[in-house]
Amino acid sequence: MNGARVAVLQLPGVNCEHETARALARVGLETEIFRWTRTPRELADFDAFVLPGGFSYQDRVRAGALAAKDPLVESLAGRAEAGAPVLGICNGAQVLVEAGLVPGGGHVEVALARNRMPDRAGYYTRWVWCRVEETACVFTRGLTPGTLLPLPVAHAEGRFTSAKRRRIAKLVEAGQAPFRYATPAGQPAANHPDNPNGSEEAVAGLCNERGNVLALMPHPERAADLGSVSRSIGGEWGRRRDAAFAAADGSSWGDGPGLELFRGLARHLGVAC
Amino acid sequence: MSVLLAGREAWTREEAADPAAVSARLRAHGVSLEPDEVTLLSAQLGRPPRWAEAVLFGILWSEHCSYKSTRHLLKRLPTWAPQVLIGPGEDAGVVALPAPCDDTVLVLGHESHNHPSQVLPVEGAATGVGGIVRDIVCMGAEVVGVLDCLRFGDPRSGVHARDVMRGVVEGIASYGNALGVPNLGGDTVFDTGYDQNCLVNAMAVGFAPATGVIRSRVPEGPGPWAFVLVGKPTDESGFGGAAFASGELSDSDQRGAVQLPDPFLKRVLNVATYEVFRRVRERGLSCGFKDLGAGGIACATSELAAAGGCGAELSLELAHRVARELPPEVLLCAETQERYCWVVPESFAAELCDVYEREFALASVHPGAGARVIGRAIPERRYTVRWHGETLVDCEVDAITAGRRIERASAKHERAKPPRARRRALDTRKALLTLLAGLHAGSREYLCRHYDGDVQGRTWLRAGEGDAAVLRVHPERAMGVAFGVAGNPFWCEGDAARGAEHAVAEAARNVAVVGARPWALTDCLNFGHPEDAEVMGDLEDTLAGLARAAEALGGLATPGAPLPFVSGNVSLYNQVGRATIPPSPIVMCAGVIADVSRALGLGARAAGHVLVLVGDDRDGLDGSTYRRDVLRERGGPPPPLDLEREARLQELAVAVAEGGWAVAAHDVSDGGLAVALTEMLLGAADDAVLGAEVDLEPFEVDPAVALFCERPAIVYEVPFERLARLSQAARDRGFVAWPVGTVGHQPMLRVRLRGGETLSWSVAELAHASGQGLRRVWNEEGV
Repeated sequence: MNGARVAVLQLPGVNCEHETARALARVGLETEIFRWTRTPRELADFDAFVLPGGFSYQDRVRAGALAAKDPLVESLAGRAEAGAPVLGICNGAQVLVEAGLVPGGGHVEVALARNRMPDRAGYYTRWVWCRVEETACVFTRGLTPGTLLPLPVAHAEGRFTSAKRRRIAKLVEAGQAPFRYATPAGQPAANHPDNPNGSEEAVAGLCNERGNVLALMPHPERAADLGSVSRSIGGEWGRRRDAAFAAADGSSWGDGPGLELFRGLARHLGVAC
Repeated sequence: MSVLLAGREAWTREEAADPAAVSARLRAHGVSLEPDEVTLLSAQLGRPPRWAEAVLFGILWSEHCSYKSTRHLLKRLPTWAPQVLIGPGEDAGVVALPAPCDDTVLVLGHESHNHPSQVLPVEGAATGVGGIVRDIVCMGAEVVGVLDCLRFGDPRSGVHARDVMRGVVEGIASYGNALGVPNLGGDTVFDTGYDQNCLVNAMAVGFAPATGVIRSRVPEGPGPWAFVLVGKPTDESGFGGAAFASGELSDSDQRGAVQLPDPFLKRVLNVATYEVFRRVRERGLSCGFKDLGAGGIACATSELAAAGGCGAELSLELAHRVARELPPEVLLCAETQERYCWVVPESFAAELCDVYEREFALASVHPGAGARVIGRAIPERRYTVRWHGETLVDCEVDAITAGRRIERASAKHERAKPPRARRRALDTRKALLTLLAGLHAGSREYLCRHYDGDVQGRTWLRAGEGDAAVLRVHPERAMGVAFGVAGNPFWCEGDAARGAEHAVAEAARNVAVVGARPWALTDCLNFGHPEDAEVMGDLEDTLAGLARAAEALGGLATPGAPLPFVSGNVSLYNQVGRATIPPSPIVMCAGVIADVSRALGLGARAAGHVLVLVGDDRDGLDGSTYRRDVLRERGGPPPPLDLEREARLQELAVAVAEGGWAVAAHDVSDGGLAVALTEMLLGAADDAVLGAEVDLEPFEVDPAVALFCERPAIVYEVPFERLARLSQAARDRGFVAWPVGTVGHQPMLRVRLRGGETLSWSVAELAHASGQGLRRVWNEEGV
């Protein structure tokens, strides 16, 4: 352990801070839940930052909008600029987009709009397939492009879109979309439910140009145990899960697909895992 | 309620001579005291009560708080087994877990929020979840899951029933999702009997350290003890909520009696509370803790004092509250949400307030929210509340705790004879598609996807993936807990006692099928007017049925002991005029599974495996969804149930899972074997191409009976090499394990029936039909 420390920002209303901290700890990262009543100055003690899922500031105005103005989040901009890894999961992703940290440049360029789904509206949960794309993102370090990870989504506003035509497509081409929703066969998912929210270009996660800031809608921290991977999931992960059940030797609470992402962070920070 | 002088007498000694007139006048002011209660209250106090006292006792003696019509009947339920640490009586029940999780206890609660959800569905359902979550937290536990059992009117009966459904689902989703508590499932039934009275039963579960359970009472010892009110500033919301829940819904606007939810504040309040738990445990401080529900500050503080065998003195003006002027009796009894009351050593009170007010900055989360010392415990058994020096309440604690009891007449509910079953030549193939596309046997997935089932990262088996949901207890241990629910109103309507037996049996079976040992029960008894003798007759039969089944099914937790009811609730007055709801006991069963890697899901896994049916014979269509949804015949008795045999079936179910002899399991429930097989195929992994080849000819019964009979049974998917083990285990327990078919590669469900007739469905058409009804009803507009 080289002493890399990760802060999980606990803004009022977030609700995934504990399982996120647990997942980070599992890959060997020293992790602390950092409460909103502390001063931004104290963030200097940390090497990487995670904005966990939830409903920060009650999703007032728009999901993530108020949190983006929180002094803690504002102070992250400088650290992100200097290359510190920042991961926003679900509501955290909404915050990073509202704060202009993703896709970068400090102004709001893309939006996480309301889910667009046939015959329904609002909040939607499901386990989906995410395909790792070839990018400079630090969180996919060590993962082969084309790798499929099953992860759960749970949100009402997760559709990556932009007022500018083809903006999302250009970001994909520029290598800023490290995760895309995929069919079980591994093709980018155009349609519901493989693409759960109607996201443009099937984008599930978008990063800045440098690759150190990632806004990710699925929840990797909820996919930390192999055996808890939804029984609806087949493929390689489904086979591994079922084999672990058959063995009944404790391997089913071994590492699940979500930990791959946190391991990428650990590799980037030089922590052996 | 208009501004009254809270400290003034509610009635004079002269007026007390005509209690009926007093009762009527009080009712006009929103205070519910029966004429005999007017007399009783004067006698207990030795004087006419002050207004605030009349309000307080009106709430304490309401049906909702006092169980005055049912308390003596509830004693019939078995509530004890060695695993029970705290049974009914506190806000939630507490049961011990076996090693290696014996350092953790499981906390279980069950509430109804029926009336509020009918009037304001979103807020009513949300505060239902909020209330049961507080019941769990106030035992010193962290909430780890919620479930909900919903009964809605017939969506074809009008726009309102559909709006109630949408609103309730939205309310549960918006509250639970924001609070960060996973939804572990439940069930949903539609029936015209609920057109004017929907049911929203919310259950919650929590974990606490075995040494960290907190009681809802002033602790023993000299103290001195401070009462600290924490959370949202008190306002007038929900004032009169308990009285509202203890009467019939009327046409007048009753929306003011519904509380207002704020899951955002609740999240922060709970996180701050967990930090307080950590500190009081670390320092070994004695504490009492209670949530504020019905009757608000008055009920919480007086019950904390009474349970602690002492008294209390409160200065109500110290409580934090909204800026607008409110009468003190409203502040005293309003049901403002997101509040708790602590009783802590006075020396710790300042630090406690600091945790909420500074470390978690509650006021920045919700204006005016915070923590204040509002009074202290006193050794004398007196309860007094003052408002700027003026006395509002001054009575013996024993007057508060002295329960009320009302004798209600009961009569056997004589039911109309069901219509004779019509004999019609029906297309059995089409019948399965009709069932799947209907509102009862179709998939619930459309609703479930509104709820977050994964937050907290403990969920192992989700709602819909198995017959019960499974959570892991600890990240480094194999043990899990499972939760299943049941309560078929059509069966209870046909035979209240046997319907109740089935509710317990099916809830426990759901838990056993995934491989968990049924460990404890909770229940809610949802009924009509207690003044109606037939309603009371149903209630008595129901309790007898619940008790019989619970006595028979506790052996997997503790041989020879009953399956204990550890928490429950009674909701009466679910009736408008003569239109009462069907008898609606709703039961949750919690189970314990030693190794979650053995938890059986219901989805088919691989071609070549054998499908095995174990349980009752396929015999008769009593109570079947087929009769209601396809034949359109209502009424009649539920299927028979042999409890001794049921206990053996559940024992087998646990043995099969623990032995690892099956890879999938599903109980035969709504829609019978055909629907069970369909659900197994639809639950397969996303890249699987699977079907089933099934031969029911050997049963030699009518095709509809073979496919749609709902007598208790379980379908297993078994790898061939383990079939002998499962069959032997079944034989040892007096069952035949029928190998009824195989899982195949062709995506078809093909069933051979009597006389060699063969029906087949493509999996795609089954998938298309399933859940169509819910989706359509949800998206319909207009009448």
